[in-house]
Amino acid sequence: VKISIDADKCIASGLCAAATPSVFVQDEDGIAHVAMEEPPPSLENEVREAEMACPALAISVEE
Amino acid sequence: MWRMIALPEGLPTSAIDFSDPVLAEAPFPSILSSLRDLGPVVYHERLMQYMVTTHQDCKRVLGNARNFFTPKIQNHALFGGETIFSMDLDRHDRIRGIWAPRFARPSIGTLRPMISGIVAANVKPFTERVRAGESMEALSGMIRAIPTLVIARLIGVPENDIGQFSSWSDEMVLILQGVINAGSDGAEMVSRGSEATAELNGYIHQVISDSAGRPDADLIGHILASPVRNEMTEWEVVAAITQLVFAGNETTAKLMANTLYALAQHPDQRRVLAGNRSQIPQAIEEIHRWLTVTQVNWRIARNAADIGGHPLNDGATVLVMQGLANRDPARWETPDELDISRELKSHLGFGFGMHSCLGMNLARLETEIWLDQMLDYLPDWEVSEVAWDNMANRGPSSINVSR
Repeated sequence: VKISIDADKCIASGLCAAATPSVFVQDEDGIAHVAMEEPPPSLENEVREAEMACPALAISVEE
Repeated sequence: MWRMIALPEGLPTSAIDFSDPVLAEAPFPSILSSLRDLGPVVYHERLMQYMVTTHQDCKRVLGNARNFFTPKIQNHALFGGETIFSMDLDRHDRIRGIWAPRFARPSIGTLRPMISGIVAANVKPFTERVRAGESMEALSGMIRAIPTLVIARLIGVPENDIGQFSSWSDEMVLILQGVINAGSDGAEMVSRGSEATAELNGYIHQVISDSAGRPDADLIGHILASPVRNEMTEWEVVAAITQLVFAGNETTAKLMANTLYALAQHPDQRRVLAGNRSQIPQAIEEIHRWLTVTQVNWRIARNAADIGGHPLNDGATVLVMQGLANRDPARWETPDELDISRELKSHLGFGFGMHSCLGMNLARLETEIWLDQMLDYLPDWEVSEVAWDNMANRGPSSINVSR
């Protein structure tokens, strides 16, 4: 899977970083960034969880 | 101990009166926007607080919990004990995590049938009377009951107690109004709000005491069954539930009332929406940006924080002007215009950062379902009279609808 974050939509809730800290990180202003753009299949469930958890619909996950 | 507070040098100042009814009625474009023209940080001399006026700086303050934390005193007054609202980092995450899955989009989505039923029971009789020619007040006649009934169902409150619940929740708002009221009424408002909080706390405490063996299906049962509950005091559990009641009622009702007002003012956009219901979620975001309910948020500076290069004393109170930030021309073109077809960008209506609204998905879904039904039953409503409430929870205190 390939992950991207729309920083303009991010509201810095931190829910993605809480769900999958190895894939999502927050900068000093709380904005989420992708630390691992193409995570291994073993992380796919957690990544999907982060996508669903985002209240701002800022995360997209492509096959 | 008295502490010397250095006066802020080189900052523009303002003595804006947040309790002024003229301000609540028409804060935009002129009165509040003029604060932004003064600069990104404006010092309020009477309140001795720093007002942050740009979208970018408001985001930075709310997103940076290390340098800006939520005042605990105000939080205690509102909810009767400490809640995630003012908790720091790790503890916040663990305790917010108890209910967070219940408020995530997939779980909230499963509530659609329950919410649709509650909405229909309030929208149908109201719109029937308006269609028959009556002019009706929409908050008391339709809107106000909806979020209360929904949160009461989620919490597990018996139907008979819901009316009392609603009035306590309304009174609690006085605390927020009192805090930004520099006049002599401020203290009186805080005191009345605190009484309502105490009564609601007592009621919830009783519910918890009687809840042995309660299933974890509702939110009270869920928190009582959570392993994290052992890290919380009894009063923190009471405060957490009090916060749910408070947060879910007044604010969502105001969002709906603002939507009534906004679309009555823009019948062309309402017509587009009536013909294309898939645009409803985006339209609600734009309405929330344009008419923000939580206009003002608070933070306290620590760890030698600064805003846009201006240093703050530890302990300084920062007023985050969320409603003003939502009309920042640096982020939105023609920000004082409502345009439901705008490209979707995040706004600060539900806050920002780790303390952003836990219930935002619920508030959105309730408002979406309600608006969808309004467009079915009364697509051409008119607003004949509106009175605006305070700036703390901005929205109509009454709004008369006719056709």
